Amino acid sequence: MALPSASTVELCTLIVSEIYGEVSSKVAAALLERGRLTLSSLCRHTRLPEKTVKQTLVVLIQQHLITHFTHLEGGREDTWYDCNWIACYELLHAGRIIRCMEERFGNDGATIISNLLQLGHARVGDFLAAYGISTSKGRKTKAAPKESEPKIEADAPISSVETLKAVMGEMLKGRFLVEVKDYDMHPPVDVENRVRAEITKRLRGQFTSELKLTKEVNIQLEKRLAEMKAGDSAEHAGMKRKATTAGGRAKKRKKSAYDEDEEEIEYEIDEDLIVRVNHAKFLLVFRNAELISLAEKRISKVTGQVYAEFLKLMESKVHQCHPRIGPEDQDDPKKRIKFTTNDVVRNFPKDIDLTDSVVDPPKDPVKKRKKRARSLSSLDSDSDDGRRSKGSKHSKTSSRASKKSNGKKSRRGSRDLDDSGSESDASVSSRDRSESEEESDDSDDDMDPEVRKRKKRAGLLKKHLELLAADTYHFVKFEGKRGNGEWSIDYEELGKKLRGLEIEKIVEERYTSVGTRLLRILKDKGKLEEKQLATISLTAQNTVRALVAGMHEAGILLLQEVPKSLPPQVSRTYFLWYVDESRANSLVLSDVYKAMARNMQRTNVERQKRKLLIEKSERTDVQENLEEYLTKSEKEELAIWRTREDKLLVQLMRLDRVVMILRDF
Amino acid sequence: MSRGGRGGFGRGRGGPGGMSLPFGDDIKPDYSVSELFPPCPQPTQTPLSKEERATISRFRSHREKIRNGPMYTVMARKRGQSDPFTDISRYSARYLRQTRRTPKLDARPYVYEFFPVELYSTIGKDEGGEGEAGKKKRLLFSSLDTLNPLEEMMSEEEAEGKVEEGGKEEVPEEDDEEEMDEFDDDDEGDYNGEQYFDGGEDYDEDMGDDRGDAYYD
Repeated sequence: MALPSASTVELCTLIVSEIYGEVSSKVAAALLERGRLTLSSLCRHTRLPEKTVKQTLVVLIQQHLITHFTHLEGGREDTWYDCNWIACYELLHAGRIIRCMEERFGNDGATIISNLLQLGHARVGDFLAAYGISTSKGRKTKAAPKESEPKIEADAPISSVETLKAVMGEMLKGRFLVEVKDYDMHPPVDVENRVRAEITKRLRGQFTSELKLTKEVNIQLEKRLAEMKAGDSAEHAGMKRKATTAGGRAKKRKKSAYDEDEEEIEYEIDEDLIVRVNHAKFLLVFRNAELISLAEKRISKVTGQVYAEFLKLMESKVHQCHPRIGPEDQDDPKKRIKFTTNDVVRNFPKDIDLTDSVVDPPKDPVKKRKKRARSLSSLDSDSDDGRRSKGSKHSKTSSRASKKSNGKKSRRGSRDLDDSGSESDASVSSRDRSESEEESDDSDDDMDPEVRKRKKRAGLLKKHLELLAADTYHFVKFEGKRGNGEWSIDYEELGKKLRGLEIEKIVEERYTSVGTRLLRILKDKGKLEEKQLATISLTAQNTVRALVAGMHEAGILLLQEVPKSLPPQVSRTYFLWYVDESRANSLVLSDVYKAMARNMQRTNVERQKRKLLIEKSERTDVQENLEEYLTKSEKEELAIWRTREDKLLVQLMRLDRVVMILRDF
Repeated sequence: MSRGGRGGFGRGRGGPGGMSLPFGDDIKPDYSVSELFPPCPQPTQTPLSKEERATISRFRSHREKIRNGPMYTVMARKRGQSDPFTDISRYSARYLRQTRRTPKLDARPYVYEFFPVELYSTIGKDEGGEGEAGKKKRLLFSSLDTLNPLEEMMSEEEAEGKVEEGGKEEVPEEDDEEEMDEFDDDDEGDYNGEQYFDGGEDYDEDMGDDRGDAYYD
């Protein structure tokens, strides 16, 4: 974790103040500005009474904003506190996270996640108990006084604790929630030191040479830390076997909506588990959303949907944006996570219409005529096959697609399709037939329409995946032919592309499209002199100089001098422009942080301007009948404030998106 | 101004080995006077999308819940900063949103292992001994009905109202004894007297109404 810069500190302080209030932000700010502190020095720096500081620390530790570590120093235990600025920043993601869970798990998911966001971490049992009480209380209180609002009551279906538990289990499985480990509460550096010390102690006896020992320790340390970061990756982590009761079977059937495993052993979430919101997983989901929208923009909407399904599959295996992997694993193709076209087909929702989403290249007119003749004489499907593979050689993509869909559509593939379990019972008999007919072409008239449709769909899906692979952004990577084509995703590369794109957008906004052109040329060619740059970009040297100087000032471009002779003279020197992407990235990032801080300050100013009015509108008596207690002008003013805050908040979220792209993806 | 300065700088150091123009004299630098305040088109925000609105409405309700919850704290104002005009206790103040100076911690169970020992007393655990004697503590669960109204995402106005109500139930009585012990007691919340006047005519009406309401009740 990088140390926070001044602008980050400012922003994080504002965010904490926005969410948890002034006292909390004061404590957090002291820690962010000064690094780790003990309780007494913290009190001194914040000038708050010790009791308040302690209470605030509890709040912030509970929310995972502050980490702590106790050292034994000089026979005395000292506890140091440190602020996790990333966690502070991630408070901003709350809205997105709740939305995301709402989309996936409905209202229950949103409730769970929003409560957990408020609670920090919580024991599942406590959580469910609290829920049970709140619902029963809610029912009681609701029945009597709120006769006037039947609408609210109508759309508040209260789910049972059981359902909530099941949803929580699903969320745990999807790693949206994770178990809190004690090392989550400590600063990463201390955790690393502690693990290192442990490993060194264990291995000390086995090595004589200090050098070898350090090397081995480093290797093991890396492994252990990677394990820690990945968390418990077992499928049923945090779950326990469900106690089988007499009514177990009926129960299972009842809540089959959330129950998907067909195994005999049922799992449910362990009530003793302490869970928290896994921000890393949500970042991954946000990155996927970003990639999907990019694919949609570059290729087509339907392709975007196909990509979304593929990424959903990946999500079950990938849980972080940047998993910590050793250098030896990185290039190992076996360790890459792959999915086959058939996997996608199996999980592909029926309601997405793929027909006519990819247009086949026009076939050779001669062949077409032949085809017509053939269909008249009703030749068998084998020759039809030959026709097709010949006819589609014109385009690279389609030829690959059809060859594979004809020749290589293995028995396995079609069986996979049949396993999907989502098709109607009517097609059962046709399945057996499809086994024998799988070599036949789509246009075969004898084939069952259901099977043909499915086959066609698989072919289309594959074409979409090929389109994704063929794009210059390489949304997916072709890995092999197993299972009707196997695909993986190079997230690192895509992340780099996303970052580059975002920087280009900013450059375009500031330095016009010519600026972007120059930037791209420099990215492509490396280091160039001004004259060359002008020639390649077909722009007047004057324009180039103005733009390049501006971009240099902003830190996006850098300049290197290469003297032609010694001693170096200005007139006899090459001046080469080049792009350092990571530097440009971090500079833009810090600008964005600043912009976000200004945005929040602006919101505060606007709020301060209307302080009395807002306070009044929040009064309980006014809340109860807004219509009566607020004058017309007050209502207008409130509406103005509300739209302004909306705009500022949306802008904040948009900037947050840029930050996620530049920093996290 | 700057033009002259730059010129002088160049000429002064123009000797051999100094600053001669690095690019030769292929381009004549433009020394004409530039406009002092050139027109600068202001960027405009693209309209908010539906999804964005939904997201911020969620964010807002989340923030609102925390603010009404036990963890949101405001700074106490220092002695002597209170405004004699507005910080008088008024009847309508009882309806104001309650603010707290210190977080309220004893309402929920904690996982003690996750806290350093020196904070155990703060979260209600005796050092060494087992805490949680007697009464069972519960998490404060913001119940479903506070979330649900947001289902119709566009009617945030309404939703906010509900959120407030939901949270309010437990807040009012508890905080008094906690707040008071450390800070000077100005019960009025964070009133800033100057604010009352600097808004000028915009706020005249508000003020009038505010008063009116108070008496009206």
